[in-house]
Amino acid sequence: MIGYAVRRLLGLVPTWLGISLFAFALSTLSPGDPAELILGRELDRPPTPAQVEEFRKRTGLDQPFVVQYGRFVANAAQGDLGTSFRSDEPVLDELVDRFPATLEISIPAFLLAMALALLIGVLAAVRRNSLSDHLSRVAALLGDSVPSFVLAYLLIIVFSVTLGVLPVAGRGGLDHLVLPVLTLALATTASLMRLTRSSLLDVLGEDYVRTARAMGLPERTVIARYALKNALVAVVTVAGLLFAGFITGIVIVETVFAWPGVGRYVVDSIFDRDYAVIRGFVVFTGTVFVLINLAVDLLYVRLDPRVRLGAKGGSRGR
Amino acid sequence: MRPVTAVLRRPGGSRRSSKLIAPLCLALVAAACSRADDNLAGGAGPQNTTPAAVQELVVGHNKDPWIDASPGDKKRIPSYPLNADVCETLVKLAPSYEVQPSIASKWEFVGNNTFRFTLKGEPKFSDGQPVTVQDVKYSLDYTLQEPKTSGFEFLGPDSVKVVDDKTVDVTPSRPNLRLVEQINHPTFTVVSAGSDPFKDVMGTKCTGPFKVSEYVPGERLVVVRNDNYWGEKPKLQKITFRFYPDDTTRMLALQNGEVDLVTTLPRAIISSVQGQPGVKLTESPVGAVTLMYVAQREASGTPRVLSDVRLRQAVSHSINQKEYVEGVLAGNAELVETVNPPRVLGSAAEMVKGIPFDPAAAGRLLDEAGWQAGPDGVRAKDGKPLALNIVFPQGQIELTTIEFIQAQLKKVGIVGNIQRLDPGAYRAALDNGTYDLDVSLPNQNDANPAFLMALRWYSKATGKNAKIISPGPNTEFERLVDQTAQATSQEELRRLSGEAMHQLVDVEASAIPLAGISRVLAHKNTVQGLEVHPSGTNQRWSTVFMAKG
Repeated sequence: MIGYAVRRLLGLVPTWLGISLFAFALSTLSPGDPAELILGRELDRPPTPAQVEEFRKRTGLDQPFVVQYGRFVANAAQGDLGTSFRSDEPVLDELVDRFPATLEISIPAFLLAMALALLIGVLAAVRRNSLSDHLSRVAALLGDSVPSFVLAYLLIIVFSVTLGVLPVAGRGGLDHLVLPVLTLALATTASLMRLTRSSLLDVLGEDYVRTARAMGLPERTVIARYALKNALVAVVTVAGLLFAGFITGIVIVETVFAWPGVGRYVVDSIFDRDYAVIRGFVVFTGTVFVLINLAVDLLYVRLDPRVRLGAKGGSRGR
Repeated sequence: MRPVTAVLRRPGGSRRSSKLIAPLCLALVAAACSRADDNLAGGAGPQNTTPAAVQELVVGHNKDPWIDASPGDKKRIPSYPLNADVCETLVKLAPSYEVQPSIASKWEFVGNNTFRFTLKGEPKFSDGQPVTVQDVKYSLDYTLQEPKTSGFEFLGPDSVKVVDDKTVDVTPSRPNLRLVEQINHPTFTVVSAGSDPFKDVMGTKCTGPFKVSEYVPGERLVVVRNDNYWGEKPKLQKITFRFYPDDTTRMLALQNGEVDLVTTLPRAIISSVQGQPGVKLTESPVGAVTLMYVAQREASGTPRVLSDVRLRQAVSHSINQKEYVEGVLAGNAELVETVNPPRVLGSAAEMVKGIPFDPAAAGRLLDEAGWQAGPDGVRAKDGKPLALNIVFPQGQIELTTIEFIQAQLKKVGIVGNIQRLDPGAYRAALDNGTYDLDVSLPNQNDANPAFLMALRWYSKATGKNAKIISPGPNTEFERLVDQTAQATSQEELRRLSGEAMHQLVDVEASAIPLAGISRVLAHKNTVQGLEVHPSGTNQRWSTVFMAKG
């Protein structure tokens, strides 16, 4: 297992380099000069050429692309993601400051989405073509088709404006968490639920499940110990990607609910052409993304012995 | 205050699915409004003006100026752009756009490009210490010490001299008699000597009716009554500014009662708020003008299609301002011919006539310039269709405005290509001159009627963009703007500004005003005594109080 993990970690290096190059190139190629833009806002009027030149020199924007990129990679490898053009603060510090707020809603939302998806997905699978299965299908359709900002407004209107039981927005106590977590969770539950259902249905048709039933095991045991464990392999893989997606796709929820997380900060940085933050964010989340993928793969190994043994077929681990 | 009356209507012909989002949000808000009546005190009946026992106001603001703004704005916080009424300047800007005494009781021009300010005796900082001339000198010098802003151009290192314990002389770094009209900008707020508002907002002592009590980045700023305030004591005990970046959420927070008042109300949301029991809209006089900046050349100097004055005049003739104000803006704006609020110009505003809506005249000018209408109605010259790139800043100008302009241009055979750009790309387009019409909404934040012309169209202004839209260095417009800096009386200043604006709008057609826009605040009926300042940087809260519900 350790050897596998080390091999995977080493394999991440080129991926990480690719991410950093992509982030660097993309931010540099986008239209808009950060010197003009940021100085223009600071001064309330267009900057002079001398001011622009001084800014470029101070921020390293006057260097060739290769030099800028090389410096960025060398620093990033040591945990230095550069300094924000706007705030003059280290990018890593700015991201780390805001990340807890983002995790505060994304972790509960992920756990809630998983719980709901498993519960409803299993129910829909074991009661295939029943009323509950049909209802879950409708719910999934709605969940997939309603944009998260619409869902957010609907939840606010129902729970905050009409019922008056929850705050509209802002970060505060546990009551402030409910609506953003629900919005984020419900938007994700639909796809996970359908995946759980279909994966479980596939597994329920396998020989070993039939064998377990033939041995007289209770249906609950068959589902929980044999079928669900195998069905989870696909679900966990997708769920890992979805969690990483939470972190990058949380912008809308943070904006609607006035949540001071990393998403809003990065969007504002994109608008201001704060290259340092854009690059830092892509590399930061890219690193988180690949590490979560690694964790998922390791979990996958635990769940599916065929991967651990390197076998394509068979089920010797069972 | 002029009541906001009508309901916004969209111009015809917009059916694309991408445009469904905004109406959907508005519908959601409207639905919430219809169910929210019970949550709001007041109702539509007579208003109770008896002060409530608790004098606390919660304001929903669109963004945290420290987090979401640049460092240059951060240093001025909380005086700008949040307007928390914490700091004051030597002189202040009245809603009439006249300069009034504030920390300085009087000022006079003493020759040699120098103004003398005499301080009032009573102003104190929030810690009870008196404001001294040394504090004034420190504060004005401080604007130069900051690492990036370098101050506004008109002050230099030797500009401020202490004359005696009541008097300071301020000499702009180059001849400029507009100093007093400009120095009311919040950049020049007076802080106690030794304060470093750029790095230490909480520790900075100011002189306003309120003082900062708490700040949670990205979430809220709390100010409380300054008991050492030397002027009229504010009625409110506390104001909490909460930050809601999303317009719809901010309005829902008002419906829910979570906030008492919301600022930065988008025009598109006004219609969903009007007529709701318990909610009132209060509007300022016109403080900004939606207008089109016309690009004549690219940053490289290459002329663009609108370098021909006949085409610029044709574009101006093609826009029906009345239809825009009454139709697109549903009467929630005023017809103006000037590029800044007419009240800044006084009677000189009448010198600017505006180019009247006259599609036939537009057609004649285009014909004369060689742009002939083809079978599809689109004008072309040498096989090239007459197409203009229209850019606008997202969030400030609504798409309906741009679509209206596009439709108006189409009627005279001009194709309008709408370019909806994020702030970075928008800035790049302006700097490079890769556009023809820039639709924008500049605020008038000081008392100088020539400020916008000197900032944007004056060829000697800093920045590339001025050269892109300027009528040119040897024009009558340029000569008049030069003279405004040396006008010795308000009457002369206004006359020269009016003449310059006449050249800019009526002769050169380098600017095309569309509508005079006011600031609109939505609030509960229980919020009373509110006077909305037309400028974006001078809102006062001292007169506001909470009435019993």
